[in-house]
Amino acid sequence: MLFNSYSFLFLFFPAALAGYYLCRKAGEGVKNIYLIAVSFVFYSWSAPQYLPVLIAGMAVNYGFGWQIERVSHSKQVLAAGLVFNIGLLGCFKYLDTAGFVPLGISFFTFTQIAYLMECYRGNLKGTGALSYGVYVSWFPKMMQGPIALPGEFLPQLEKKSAVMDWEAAYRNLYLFVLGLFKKVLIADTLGKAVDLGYANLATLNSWDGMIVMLSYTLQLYFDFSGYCDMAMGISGMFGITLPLNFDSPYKAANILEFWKGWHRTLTAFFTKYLYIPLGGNRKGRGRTYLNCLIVFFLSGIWHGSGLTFIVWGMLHGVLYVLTRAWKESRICDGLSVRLEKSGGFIRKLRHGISVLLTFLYVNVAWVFFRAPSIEDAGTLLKTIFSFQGGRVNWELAGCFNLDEFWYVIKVLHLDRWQYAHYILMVVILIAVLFLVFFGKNAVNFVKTIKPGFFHAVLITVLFVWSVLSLSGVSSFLYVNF
Amino acid sequence: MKEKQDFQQLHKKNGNPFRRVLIAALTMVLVLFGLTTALVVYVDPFFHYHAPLEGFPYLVDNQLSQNPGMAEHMEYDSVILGSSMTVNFQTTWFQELMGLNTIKLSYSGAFPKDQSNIMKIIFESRNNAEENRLKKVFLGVDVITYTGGVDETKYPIPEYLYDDNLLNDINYVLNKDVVLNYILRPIADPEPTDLSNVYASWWTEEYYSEEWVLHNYESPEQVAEEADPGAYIDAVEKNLSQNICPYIEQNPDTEFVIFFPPYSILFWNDVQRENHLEATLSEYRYISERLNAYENVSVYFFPDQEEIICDLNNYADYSHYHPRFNRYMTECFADGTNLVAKEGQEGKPIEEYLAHMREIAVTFDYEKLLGSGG
Repeated sequence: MLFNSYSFLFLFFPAALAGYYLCRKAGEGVKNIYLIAVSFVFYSWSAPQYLPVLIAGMAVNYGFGWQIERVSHSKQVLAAGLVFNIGLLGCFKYLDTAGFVPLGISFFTFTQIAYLMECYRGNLKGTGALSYGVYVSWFPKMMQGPIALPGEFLPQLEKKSAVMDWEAAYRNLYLFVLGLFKKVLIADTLGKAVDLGYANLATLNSWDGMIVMLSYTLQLYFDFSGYCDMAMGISGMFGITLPLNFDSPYKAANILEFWKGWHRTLTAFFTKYLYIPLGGNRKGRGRTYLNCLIVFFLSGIWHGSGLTFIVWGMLHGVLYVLTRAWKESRICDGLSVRLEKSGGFIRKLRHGISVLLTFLYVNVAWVFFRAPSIEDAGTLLKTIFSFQGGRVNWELAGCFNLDEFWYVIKVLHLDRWQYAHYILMVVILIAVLFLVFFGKNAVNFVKTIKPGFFHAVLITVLFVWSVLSLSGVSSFLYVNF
Repeated sequence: MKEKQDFQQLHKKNGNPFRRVLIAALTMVLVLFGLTTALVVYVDPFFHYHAPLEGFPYLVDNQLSQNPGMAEHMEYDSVILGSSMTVNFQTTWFQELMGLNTIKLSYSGAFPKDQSNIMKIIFESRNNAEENRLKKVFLGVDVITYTGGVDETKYPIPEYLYDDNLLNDINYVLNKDVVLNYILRPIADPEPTDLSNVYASWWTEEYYSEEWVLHNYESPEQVAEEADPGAYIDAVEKNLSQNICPYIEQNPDTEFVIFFPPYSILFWNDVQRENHLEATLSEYRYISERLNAYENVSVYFFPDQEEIICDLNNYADYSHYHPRFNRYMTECFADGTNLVAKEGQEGKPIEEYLAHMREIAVTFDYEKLLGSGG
């Protein structure tokens, strides 16, 4: 089930929340059973055949954890547990042995690896089966993250909440609505242009190519971060705080900063359970850089099967290592000292250029992430950098022409202007870029808002607008025969 | 600090402000959803709940979404079903020539399952009530669509408009497209659809030319091995048995007028190049014989209309003919021209039609046509 669906918004979520408020005072055990049951219903809503895989995987992992934590604190058992999880992920996702990929397997596998690692490191003591069950299966995060670590998640299950916290409900609901809006109206609109562009790569000119590349960069951010906002909002309403996954990543002035803002929980996972065990930065510079490259290589593989994901990972890995090497060099130190002395304008300009260059690089890397093949990625990039101008493709521009705004243009009589068809594309892209570079992160935004009439109206408008946009009227314009 | 005190005072005076905002927002959301639902149910642009309102300038342009409602809630005594081959029939001709109050429910590219979906609604509607059975169903049969899966529809259908489940109607009543394009736009810019000519194709006169047709046509590669003559029968048998025949059998008082439309000679060029002429002709024979065996079925055969199909100026692409041939076919339905004789009855049997078709397909000078058009 998707958060952005009628069945979730009008059926599952209200029922699940009502049930939670009824049973939350009944004790930790009952509450946990309820949360697991709700999560299983959510998980099996659209594809119940995956549920046995999830439950079996959870049972085996809990067994491994029990063995490590309470019986023999052995490296062999941990190794067996890791092999089991990675093997399962490999079989389903990469070797396609079962003919299907259980939803969310990349995420719940990592969740369980984190659990075993923490058991081994002695950071978890006597985790009950029910708490463990909630930790792995918790529905707001299980499909697309964020990847919560046991140390931050499990203690929250013991918290008692006696009174209704209206402020938390308000802020979490607001966050959810912002996430829904980001996903349904921003990401999905951009997504239309992206799909059209990638389906017609051969017909694009440089402008089209740039718009497609940029749209995907923005789509991915609004889609994924919107989803995570929704997850945090939903989970928060059940009294469980999920970790922040996106912190304005496109405001980064270099690739190191980008990775502090993009998919933070995955980075945290890799740092904790791969980079540091590999030696981290404790074994000299050369080894540090190699460790970084290994992390990015595996991150590429984790994101998807296929060479394009490895190329994407390595594009980031190489720049990451180069940037790190530069930052750790003496020349960089010298420059920094001089820059400190220069005026505010120069510093701002330098920062602006750094942000733009980083953004451009990340854009190019996303082309490999999205393109069906290396060749297609090459075609798009070649098209863009051939700098062949021309008018933007009519249909591509049309993807941005949301009906509701089209009425505004009509009322203003702008529709008679020869470039009317392109107005919304330009306006939407600029507005979204503005949000990305200058806007406040949704999570930080909702922390500071005050309760008031304006926000009540805003929340209402955004929610109603998003819900009305969930279902379109499918029309097939180019019908043949 | 002062702000905090103010806030606490306010809190005491008016209750929890977060609670108030939440309740206010929730109330506004419910009111807006209620109003939207009421508007959609009242106007009902897809005719899902009731017949059209008197005087509302309905826009009808979406076969997948509007056909089921029209089938259920409009008034008619006969229907036109089929693919885009049927969109240019004008229902007024059926009134003029046969005295029928006809409705057109075409689906572009329709598969047999699409026909079955809409026939289910038609025959369960009040237009087929016990004392007032549906008179005629005109069904255009495109042979190439009968060789696919029995449960396949051409496009994913909006299920919520095809079933009686009220819960999934939320897809309809809280739908931006419905409100903006089918309720507000017609009010702001009324251009009510003429139902007689609904779904008509967009090609204007100048598109019906040999030059345009050949410009968009590409001859397929020659296939060396000929398809088995019985290659399609299995799939066609299943499609007829599941999607078409049950309606014919369950509605003996309704006459089913089955017709095969006239595709251009380029269709037969494809058939020849892809080397399945005998298989295609066998399919025509099978469908014709199987359906014609029912008392309440009459079959019309138009594919071998030489003077139509061999002149590409009659077409806008390799299969879509000019609307005047829809008129011609309607006249045939009225006077029995091109009717396929039932077994043992007088008239022209299917074999004769097929022999003529084979002769045209085999002897036509494709090279001359395709060479000249470039």
